[in-house]
Amino acid sequence: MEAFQKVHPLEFYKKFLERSVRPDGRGLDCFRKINISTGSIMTTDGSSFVKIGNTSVIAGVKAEVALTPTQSDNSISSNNNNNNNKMFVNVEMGPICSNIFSSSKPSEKAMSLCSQLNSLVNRLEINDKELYFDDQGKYSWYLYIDLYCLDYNGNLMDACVLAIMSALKNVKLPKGIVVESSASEAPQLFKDTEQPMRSLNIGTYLIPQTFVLLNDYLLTDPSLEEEKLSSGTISITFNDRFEICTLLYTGITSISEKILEQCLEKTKKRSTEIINLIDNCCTTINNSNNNNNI
Amino acid sequence: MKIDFRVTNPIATSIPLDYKIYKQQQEQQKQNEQQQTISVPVTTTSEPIKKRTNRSEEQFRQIFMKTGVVSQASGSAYIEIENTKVICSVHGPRASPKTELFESAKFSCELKFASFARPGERIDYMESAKEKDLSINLRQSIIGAIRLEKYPKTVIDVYVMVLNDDGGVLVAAITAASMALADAGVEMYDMVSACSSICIRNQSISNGSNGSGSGNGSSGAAPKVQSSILLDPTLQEEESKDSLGCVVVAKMPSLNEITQIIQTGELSYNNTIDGIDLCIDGCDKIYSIMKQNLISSLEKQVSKKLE
Repeated sequence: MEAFQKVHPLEFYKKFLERSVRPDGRGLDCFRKINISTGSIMTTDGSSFVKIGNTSVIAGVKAEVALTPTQSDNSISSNNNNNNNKMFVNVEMGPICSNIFSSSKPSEKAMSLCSQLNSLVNRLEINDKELYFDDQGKYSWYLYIDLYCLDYNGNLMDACVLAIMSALKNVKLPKGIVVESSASEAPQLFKDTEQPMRSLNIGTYLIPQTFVLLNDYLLTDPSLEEEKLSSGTISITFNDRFEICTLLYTGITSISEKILEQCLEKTKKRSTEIINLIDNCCTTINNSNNNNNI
Repeated sequence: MKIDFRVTNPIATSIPLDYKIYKQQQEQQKQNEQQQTISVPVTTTSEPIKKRTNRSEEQFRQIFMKTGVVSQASGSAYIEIENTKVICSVHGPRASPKTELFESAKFSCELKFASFARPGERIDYMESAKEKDLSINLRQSIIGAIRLEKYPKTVIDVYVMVLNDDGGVLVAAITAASMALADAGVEMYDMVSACSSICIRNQSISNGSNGSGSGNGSSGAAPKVQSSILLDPTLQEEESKDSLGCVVVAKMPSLNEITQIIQTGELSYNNTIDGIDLCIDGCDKIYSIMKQNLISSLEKQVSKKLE
């Protein structure tokens, strides 16, 4: 049996898919169990750990302060497309998560995922005022979101989006104090640790869902093996008003409109579950301030 | 050509300081002015070490270990020493990419910090000197325990990721790596366990010696510094100005052989010996935890297979 799987993986899958079941026991529409825990890394301003089946991603947010760029600054360096960004996402897929990655430079997969996530973060509808350091908004917080893949078993996109969402929900920013010193020197910036921290108001939720096409069968939440064998991958991200934030299809064959509609429908169905998942993980951890084990 | 495709911020940002410390400094300055003494520049930001309240000087922090956390690796381990969190995965023994013949396996170690692992500034993605140093120390501690001659023409790679640093990173890394190697089924003479201790100048004495200043150092014999040795230091203890030096010992407990001793800082002979002794005892205790963990994880695996 194992030999057959190794030698003819596609045939092996076909035998299962004909009976509408996958080798790991899931149905075609079934997704793996999602675990989210937040606040386990003490050195960050907000962190989360997401596990989808065996795929696990850890996210940490570090907040730093700088002058808010003014309009005139924007026009000077307008060629830089992420000028107004206050959030920067980086994805690291090191050799820790799988032996197909090396440690020397970021893999192509990590790079493409990184650029997708960076554009997605801007769809989160976080008001500029939320990131003000002082009351007037002369200075603002910049959030650096670093995602580390710890175990790569397919469907990293969903795990990363969920990790970003829950890490940002976990962010606690201290109150900022600007001390104006003598005219020549730059004012000093301080954080007031005695006052209560505030959390970010995030306007919307992102609901990600990835599908894979394997032998004309549509599989939800693919594992690494299914991703490898697949002829195409469809990634959809909705916000909570069911507007499409990303829709990405990559593959060697074309897909019909019907399949796409199916995917959209399935993602919509799952939205309330994902929203509950993100909300729950944030409320339960706040009450019990314990260390979270992986 | 741009090699690094990671996203960077074109604007330089900084981490704000704590307002509480600033206020304290201001008040001190005011007091100094009122007393009309020569104003002493307030530079010290590191707080003096708080005395341990929740554990004694020769006590460990709580340790949690788990093997088999990374499904894609041949062996893996996760270890948590209270806030120090380290994950390790082992790839191999696998065929080496080069076709050259060598009689024993090639063994390499790599340790990385997550960019958010330490308090304060973010850590660069590029390998730093500190990471390189820790990688080499990690390799040196473990390589003696592995039976490399059993795996000719192969490579064994150990990757360690530090998710949160709260002191004792090397200890956690060595322990995690040997657990992961055992999980991968690599033949070893014994598992390596590690332990660290730190020598700290006692508070009451340090206040007295501060007054005399550094100018008196040359006159006569150096005043004897009263110190105490703490097991399993936290980051705050490691980086405080009161720490005199640190000892890390890696050991194969059932063979009773030491694989590595790293001593840094300025320690007297007696302090070093005491520190090593304390570490050796600590290694034995950690070893028993490692053994217990491996046995229970194996039991779980077996019972899963039987089902």
